[in-house]
Amino acid sequence: MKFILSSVASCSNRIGYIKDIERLPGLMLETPMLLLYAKGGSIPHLTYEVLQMVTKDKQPLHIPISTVAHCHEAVTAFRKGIADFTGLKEYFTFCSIHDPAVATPYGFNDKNTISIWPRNGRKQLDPDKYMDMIEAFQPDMYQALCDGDTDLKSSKKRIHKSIDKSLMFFEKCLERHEKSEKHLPNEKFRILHGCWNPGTVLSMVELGIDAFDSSYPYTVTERGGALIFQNCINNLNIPSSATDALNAAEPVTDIELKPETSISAQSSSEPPEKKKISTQEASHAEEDKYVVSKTQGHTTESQSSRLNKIYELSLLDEKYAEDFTPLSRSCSCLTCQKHTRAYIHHLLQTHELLGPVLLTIHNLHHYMEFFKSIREAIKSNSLESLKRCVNERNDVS
Amino acid sequence: MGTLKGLLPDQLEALGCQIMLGNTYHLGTRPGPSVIMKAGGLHKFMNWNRALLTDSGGFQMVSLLKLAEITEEGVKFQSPYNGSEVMLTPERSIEIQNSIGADIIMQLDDVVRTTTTGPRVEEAMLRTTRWLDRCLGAHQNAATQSIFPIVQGGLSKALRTESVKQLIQRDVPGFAIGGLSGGESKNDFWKMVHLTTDLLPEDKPRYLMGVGFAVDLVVCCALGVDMFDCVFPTRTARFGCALTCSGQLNLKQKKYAKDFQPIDEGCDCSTCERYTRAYLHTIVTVEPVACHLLSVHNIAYQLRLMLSIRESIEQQRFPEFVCKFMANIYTNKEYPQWIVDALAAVNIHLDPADPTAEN
Repeated sequence: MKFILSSVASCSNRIGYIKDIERLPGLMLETPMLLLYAKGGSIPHLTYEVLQMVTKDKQPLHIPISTVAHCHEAVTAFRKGIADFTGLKEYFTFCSIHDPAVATPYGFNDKNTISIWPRNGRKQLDPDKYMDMIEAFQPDMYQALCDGDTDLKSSKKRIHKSIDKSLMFFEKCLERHEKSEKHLPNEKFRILHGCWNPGTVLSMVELGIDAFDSSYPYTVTERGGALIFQNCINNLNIPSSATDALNAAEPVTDIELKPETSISAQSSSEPPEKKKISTQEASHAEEDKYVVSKTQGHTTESQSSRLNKIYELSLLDEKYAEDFTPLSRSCSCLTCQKHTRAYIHHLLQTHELLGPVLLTIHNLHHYMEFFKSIREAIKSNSLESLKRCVNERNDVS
Repeated sequence: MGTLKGLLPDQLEALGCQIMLGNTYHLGTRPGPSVIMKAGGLHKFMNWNRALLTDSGGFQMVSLLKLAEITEEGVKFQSPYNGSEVMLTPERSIEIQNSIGADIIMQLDDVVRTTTTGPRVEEAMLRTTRWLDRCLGAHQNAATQSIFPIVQGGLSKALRTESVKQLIQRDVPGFAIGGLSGGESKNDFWKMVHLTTDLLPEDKPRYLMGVGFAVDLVVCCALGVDMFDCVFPTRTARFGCALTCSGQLNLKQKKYAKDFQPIDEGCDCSTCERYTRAYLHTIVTVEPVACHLLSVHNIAYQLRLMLSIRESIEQQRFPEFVCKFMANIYTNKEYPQWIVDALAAVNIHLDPADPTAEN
């Protein structure tokens, strides 16, 4: 597998390509890329059949280890890896340690292990146990075991410890990795997991992050939201969501456009050169602060939820009960082509499973289009314009 | 509810589903007839371009609500949403069903539990006929919506006969058989179905409400029923159960943890094409997508069963089909007596387990 960059500046946005993947010859992935968040091995709410209705492209998948740890025994017996086990063998898979859509508790890592929270309760992993799982799951790319239990408030001692432990874990993982068959290239690939909203994603792209996951559109779906932020550069200066705005988008006042995350930011150290295994960049401190709060409908910061409203519609709101227009007039996804806001509102009100299915189809489509726009904007040097369009308020103005 | 448990209309079309049932009680409450009318009817609201059938709303009320009082006027109950008193009359039921716009609609009937005995059963049967006339009078869309009356009469031969006699005097496009999917014994069940189908006209469809399990479907087809409805395939999918020709699989059970076969080797649904029992075992009752995967399979199974029944009838080998079907389910050939009797009544004889017991 090769990761090839098309630009050289160290802390700047870049276009890259992952190719020559042994298991999936002919597949080429362009970065910055979006990994589809697949907890438990499936994209939430989407069967394979419905996934094909969102896209027939083989998008790369992100399977957090904590959400498939309970499958370890079965996948070991299966012997063909996690992608095949979950019915998605044609898909490139990346395994991270933690689930980015859930806040990870602090203070549960010790000298030799880190803790994850799979289904049956806390589990401690040392590098050997972790690599046992990786060897069973056989992902195409994975995160080395590391201690990411730090945040803005951490003490210097904690930070140093986390770096030291991560280096030590990394060495051990690498040892195990080299005893396995695969050999891989030297380019450093940067992936940043988390529920970053679109504004934050763009800031990170500017700093040179190559990959993100789709836990953000997932959390939007879970709270009954539909993404309608402008996901491309519109030269006419009329946001494509303007007509949606006329159809009663969320009124927005007094919002500071600070990038905010809606889950805990997992920061980590910068491990040295390595093959195949991706790194997690330390989140560079900037004046834009990261707000730590839980997801899945429990945003603790009102600022965070007000901010998110400029990117999404809340379909649970009564005002959509008789709105027979699509979520977004300019969207070509199945949901927008075939269904109305009123219908989706009804499904959410009555807790019907089809509600989240329709929202997922739209939100993933919208977000994937966003990433296409990001790559185009980098190539045409118009990332600034994209940033303006994305953060534009979608009220009537 | 305006959806088939998480499946897209596109998926249902791909499965070959021709008709779906909507609950008038639920839809009439949320989103309500006004919203549905504004959407242009339920077909447009859910974007389903094939057939729809709505029930009257009566059954849900009697089974779901605590204080349902039935009078000649209609069914009076307490709204679960705000505690106010609501009256569902035959006229109101038809009005709501007219708004919903389903292709087939049901009269409001006076439903009694199958286990009820005494004069109440006759009262309900006679009232059902009077309510049918009120429904027919209130029906605004005879040209676009077919209304079915519902045969009642509990487990009484005389009452069922009288019910049919009264209903066939009305000019209706088809008939439903009600009051027979509750707690009655299977022996009573099949006899009432058999009696009713013998009496109903041959040239109009017969719809047996609330049935059912695969075995019941096969037997009732033999007895002359044409249409069925059942929540079982999708409800059981939610609990992790998959339907196969040899019975149900409860995928939550540990024994499937390392079972790398599909649910059914012979099934060509999109779930069996890609997913193993082992993987499904890890997600059933945990991830919503498991419910969809099993629903797709279970519906495929039911529809395939009905297709096989139709094909075997067309090809004049229905009795052989039935025998083979039963032999697959009851591998030791110990058939329940009611099945043997019901099939024998229409001249289908199952291979007994003991050859010396042949009749």
